Amino acid sequence: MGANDQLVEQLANLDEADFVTVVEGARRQRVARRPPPPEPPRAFDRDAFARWYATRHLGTDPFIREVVYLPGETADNVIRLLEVNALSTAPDDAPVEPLDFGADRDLPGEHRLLVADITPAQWERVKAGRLRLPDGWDFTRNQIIGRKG
Amino acid sequence: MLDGQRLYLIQARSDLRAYDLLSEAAPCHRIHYLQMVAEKLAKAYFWRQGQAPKRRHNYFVKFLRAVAGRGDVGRAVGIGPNSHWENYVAGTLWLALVIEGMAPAEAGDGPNAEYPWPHEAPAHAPASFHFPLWDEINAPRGRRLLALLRLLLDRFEQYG
Repeated sequence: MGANDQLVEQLANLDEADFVTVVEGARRQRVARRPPPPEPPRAFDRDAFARWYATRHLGTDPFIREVVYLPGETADNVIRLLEVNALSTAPDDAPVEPLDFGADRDLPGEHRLLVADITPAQWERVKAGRLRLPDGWDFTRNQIIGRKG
Repeated sequence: MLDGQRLYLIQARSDLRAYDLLSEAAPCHRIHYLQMVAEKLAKAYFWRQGQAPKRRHNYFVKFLRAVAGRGDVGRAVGIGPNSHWENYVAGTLWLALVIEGMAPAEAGDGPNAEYPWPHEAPAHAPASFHFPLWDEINAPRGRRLLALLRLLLDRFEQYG
């Protein structure tokens, strides 16, 4: 039995009050240790905002392994991110679907944030050129932003 | 607001009313409606790009991730500052994922809120199955997610 399985069994054997106390205590410790999210850039710079969004998304969802920023060759105000998500359930050959995540209206500079979740297997296919990206998504100059540590 | 957004919002709100009316029904029916409310709220949001989301059921977690990054949405529902809003939403993602998974198409041959399973040789019916998810929904974490869902539906016109 692995260490995580042993931990699960220990937790499962606690009485209800102890279980809630332990799990809530652990959750609060984790939240307290989490570094504060970075502040957004003060002026609109597409690359800076892309890195800021990527960092925030990596901090929010632990199952996102890495974020791929696709600046392409155009200088429009659209930020395109591929997010390699270990919990995504799309079939390997499913089309990559970008979603307009919406930008905080109080942020500087009007811009759009498009995010496409892909599975690790889909990411391998994208890199190998076997899975097309959506129209307007240019793989050249891609920048991978991953987890630290 | 685009027509696709408006119509999905209408249906999501109606599904929520049905969820509330089903208070005496077996948990599977409430879970079913909760999953549909969450999915349609998410699709109402993502219709913002002017085209239909795919005919899949896994948009609720993506929606929560999207609004978590928008402090203006947190302010619209009365939760702030931005860092607290982001943590608040992040704390609901795991339960949101389980709710998404209650749609039969996402559940595969596992527990789902609508049909007996496994498909080829049913051994369980939703109406007689004990869903641990239902216990979670009625625990503090679940009530927090439900409260958030209601606020996000109620205030959609402010951020959607």
